Amino acid sequence: MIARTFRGLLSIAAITAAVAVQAQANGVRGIFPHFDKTFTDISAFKRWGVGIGYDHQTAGPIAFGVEFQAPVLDLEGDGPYGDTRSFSHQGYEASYYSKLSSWTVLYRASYFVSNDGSGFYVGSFLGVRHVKETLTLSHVEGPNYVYDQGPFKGLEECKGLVFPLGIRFGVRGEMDGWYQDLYFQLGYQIGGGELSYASSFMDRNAPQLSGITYGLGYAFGVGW
Amino acid sequence: MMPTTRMLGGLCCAAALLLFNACASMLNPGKGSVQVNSEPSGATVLINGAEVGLTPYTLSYVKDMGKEVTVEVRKEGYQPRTVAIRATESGGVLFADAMLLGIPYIFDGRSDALYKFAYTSVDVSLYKALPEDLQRVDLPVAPMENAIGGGRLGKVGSRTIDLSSKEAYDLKYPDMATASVIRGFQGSWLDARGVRLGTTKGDEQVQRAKFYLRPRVKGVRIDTKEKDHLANGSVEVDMEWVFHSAIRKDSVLFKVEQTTRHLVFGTSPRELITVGVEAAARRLLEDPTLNERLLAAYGAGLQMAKGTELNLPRPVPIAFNGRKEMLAALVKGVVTVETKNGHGSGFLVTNDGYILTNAHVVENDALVKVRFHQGFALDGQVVKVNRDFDVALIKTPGADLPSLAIGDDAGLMLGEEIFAIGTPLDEKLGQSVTRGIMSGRREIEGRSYLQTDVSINPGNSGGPLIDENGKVVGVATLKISAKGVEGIGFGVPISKALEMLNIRFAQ
Repeated sequence: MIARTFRGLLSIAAITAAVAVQAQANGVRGIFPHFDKTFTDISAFKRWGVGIGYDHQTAGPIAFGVEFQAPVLDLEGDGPYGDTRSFSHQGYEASYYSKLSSWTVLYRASYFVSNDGSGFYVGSFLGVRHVKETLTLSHVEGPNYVYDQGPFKGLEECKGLVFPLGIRFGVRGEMDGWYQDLYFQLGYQIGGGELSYASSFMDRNAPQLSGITYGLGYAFGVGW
Repeated sequence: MMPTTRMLGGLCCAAALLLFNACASMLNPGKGSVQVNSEPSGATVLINGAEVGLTPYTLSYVKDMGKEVTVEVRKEGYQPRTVAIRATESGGVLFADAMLLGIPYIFDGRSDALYKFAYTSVDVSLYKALPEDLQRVDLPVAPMENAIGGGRLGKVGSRTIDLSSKEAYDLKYPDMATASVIRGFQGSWLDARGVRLGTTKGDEQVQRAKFYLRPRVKGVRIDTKEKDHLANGSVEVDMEWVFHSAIRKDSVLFKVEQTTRHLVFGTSPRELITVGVEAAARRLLEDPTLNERLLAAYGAGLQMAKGTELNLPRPVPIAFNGRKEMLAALVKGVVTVETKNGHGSGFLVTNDGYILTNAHVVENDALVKVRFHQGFALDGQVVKVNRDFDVALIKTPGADLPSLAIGDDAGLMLGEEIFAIGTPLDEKLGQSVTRGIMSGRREIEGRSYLQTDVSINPGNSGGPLIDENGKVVGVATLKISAKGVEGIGFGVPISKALEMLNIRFAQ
């Protein structure tokens, strides 16, 4: 499965390289902030992301690009690592500190209405998004005042890989040598759903990856 | 949960299906082509500078041509024409490409099929090359007359055009149409300029040119299609070019009736009539006899301005002994010419009362008062005027009057001393003498002048410029008067003054 996924990514990279041959302008963009709706129960605006990207503008109204995004500031929850999460099993009740992390690599194409690589555009994106939750045990209460961890481990984690696919609208303004881009995207995360822990009895409280995903952000780029 | 193999497979199939369906080369297999036509046909077509064939020529788009293709049409004996046509990308296909993550663009971007021309044909009218060795002719052009009664002027796309349409704006404002005529004459042997008859400046320009043109538009037929707010097709204009004499403004020298069909391509509908009239003016120049006819008319006008030949008796000039007495003696031959509006100067060229002066001194008066140095005054009759060269001849009664001797202005050397005698500013300053030198010979607006730094002031006009030998070499006429400018005066050479009044002296 992983080999298959890599083959997919390799295809995208090859396409990007092929397009770059006929690109008329290039640029590197920095993205901040970027907000993404990834999880069902967590607001997109509680996780502030940054990113970096590479843009190709063809002689025509089409532009291509790849970008990497990752949330760096998590405003979710009140624990030292984020949210606290509770589980119960076999009479034990455990409380974990939850730490969510993710990264996304997107390949995107845009069609500029004004035909000169600036102004409003509409396009599409396809990418891969990796999500991971790390749980650090905070507190366990056993039945009949048993002071042990029971079935709960000190460290637990779950991972997932989804493929966001959708459309992106935006407006790009160009000045000599630099540009900025304000965008909104809407799509679907292929392969979404509930994540799984190694201890499957914890799964019912695992984070849910949303099907519909949306995001918005602002990018500042330098072109040549 | 990881994506399943089936999910990825489906995704790949969907992407492949969309990829191939969206390729412009599959959706749009026909290449963009345009037909290049010329009138007359058989002209050589050059695309981006490279010769490709003869008109009518079908040009197929190849991406290497670039987005703007330069089409030049050349034919022996005609002026070349160059037009630029744009090839546009298919926006719909590019949009589909973008929505499919740009992947089909890898194929489409290199495909000629992605591009098409905005027009299906490029039609150009060629004009005959004009000879360059023709003598230039000054042509005042009066505002164009609209002799179209009304009705339909044609169509632009599906719209019918008449005199009330905004496309007929130029016909409502004759100055606009006249400007089109003048543009049509640009780059030719005609120095055309718009004039308003009845104004001092306009009449002066007409007077100098000896004739003027009044264009009349008698009919317009527009037959164009409209695409992207630009018109393609033809404009036919019926013109009557009426050349009037400057001597009598209502007289007609000759007329040229003409119908011109002009092919338009990518022209704004509001410019169709402008372009049609401009083309008609350009076509008029192809008449091989026009230059000759205008030059003949100019010659006739010049002759008319000079009037019939006048033979005068050769005068016995004022005698003087040496240079010391010269000016004191010569002032007797200089007079003050009094008109209704002021005064000027003049000088006797015969002993029986013929006096030379400037045309602007006598203005339009037929009778003037001539005051002599000796103190008496006589009535003078203006017998000849040439306003082109600003000279006039007055006749007073009398015999044995003191006349000046006519000199040779051609022999005047640069730096040679020149004296002016006249009545500057006030009649009390009659026969004032000033001195300067010959500064040069100038041609100003086709007229010859002697330049001198001798003092010329209002009232001096018409007085003689006298050389070191006491002979008249010129008629003091004008000076340049501006802040910081001094000592730049001009006189009409005496030979030119006599020639332009058609005066001969008996041997």
